[in-house]
Amino acid sequence: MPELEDRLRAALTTMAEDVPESRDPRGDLDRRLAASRRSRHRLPTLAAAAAATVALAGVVAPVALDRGDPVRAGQAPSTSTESREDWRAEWPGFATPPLPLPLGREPESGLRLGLAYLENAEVGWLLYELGEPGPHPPQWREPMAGLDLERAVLAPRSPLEMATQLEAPPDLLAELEGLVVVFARDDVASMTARRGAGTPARIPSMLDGLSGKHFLFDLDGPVDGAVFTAHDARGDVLATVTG
Amino acid sequence: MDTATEDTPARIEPGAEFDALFDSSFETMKRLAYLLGADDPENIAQESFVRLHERWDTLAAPDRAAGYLRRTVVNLSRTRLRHLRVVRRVPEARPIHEVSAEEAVLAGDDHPRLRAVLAALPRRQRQVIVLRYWLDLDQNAIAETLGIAVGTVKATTSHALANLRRAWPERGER
Repeated sequence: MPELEDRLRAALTTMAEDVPESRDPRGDLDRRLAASRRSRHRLPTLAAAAAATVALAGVVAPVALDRGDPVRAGQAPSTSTESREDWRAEWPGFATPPLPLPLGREPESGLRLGLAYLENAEVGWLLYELGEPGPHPPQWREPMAGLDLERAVLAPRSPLEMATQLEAPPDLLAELEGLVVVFARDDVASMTARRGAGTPARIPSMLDGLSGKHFLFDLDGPVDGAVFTAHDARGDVLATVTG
Repeated sequence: MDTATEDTPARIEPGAEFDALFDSSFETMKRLAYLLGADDPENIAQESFVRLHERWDTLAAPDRAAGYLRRTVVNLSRTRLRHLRVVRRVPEARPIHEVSAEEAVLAGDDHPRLRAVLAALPRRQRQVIVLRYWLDLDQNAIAETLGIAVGTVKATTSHALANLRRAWPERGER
């Protein structure tokens, strides 16, 4: 076993050296911290919850489901008071992920769903896009990042707000594990979710104050393998997303 | 939404200790994210330091900063990996660190072979291996970083080494 361990150490060290040194990491950090400071001053402590909700819904709601509707696909956000660039400045964690699709550009076609979920005391954030079949192959895309709870999708006076405390009781965090918020545009009439095991997800009553059209699910476990399906008013399937 | 901040307690800005930690650990944290499989290690390392900076005055002691930092890198890498699995259902191009096992064998190299073997390990086993054999953490530190019991670290390490021995044999054993 020692030989294996020695080989492991040597190979891992070699692998790590694949990563080139950053050119200006301190400058990058300073820029992120400056953006974070602006955000903190503008959205202080727990009062930020409502603003964060507006910011998130403002980005997701207008792009939520755009398939086959070229007129609507180019529309400006209708539920937000903040521009997308404002939003990106407020959320520095989103400023630099390798986005194959810039947030500031509407897709010509395709549909998107935004997901927020809680795991290990952090709210994760996803934005999926499923391209139209046709000359281009369908693709999944996803700007994402983990978000601090302080900045998360919160409703005032909800249990989630309590979880913004860094020392939130483990039992509370455990209770909220698997909570999923799906943001959708107005043409989504209903949604269903099934856990990875295939059983329907419970729909909790919390987060009633959340802005924007959204659907809540309690997976009571990890989001991996869960399937979310959006229906229009006629019951036709608009989109299916697997977590 | 520009509410007043008068009631917000004054925040202690991190100083020289944070700067020293950044200078000494940024590249290490970036490489840790890479070895854990993240495709955007620079972003993960930066985001981890931003979070540490924001929570500096809530840490009970500055020496907890390194542990907090490691946990954040591990958690963000795990989150990133999970979503990459979704993205790669219809992959546009195979990432360099996802060389297939067959290709690795043909290459006959330890380095790409280990990439493939690591990528195939269960997430927890990969984390334990990287923290133990690259970051040289002891079992207690690994347990604290991953939020699991020391006994779980021992068992996971044992299983991971057994898997590695099978999938990554010595040249003479192949």
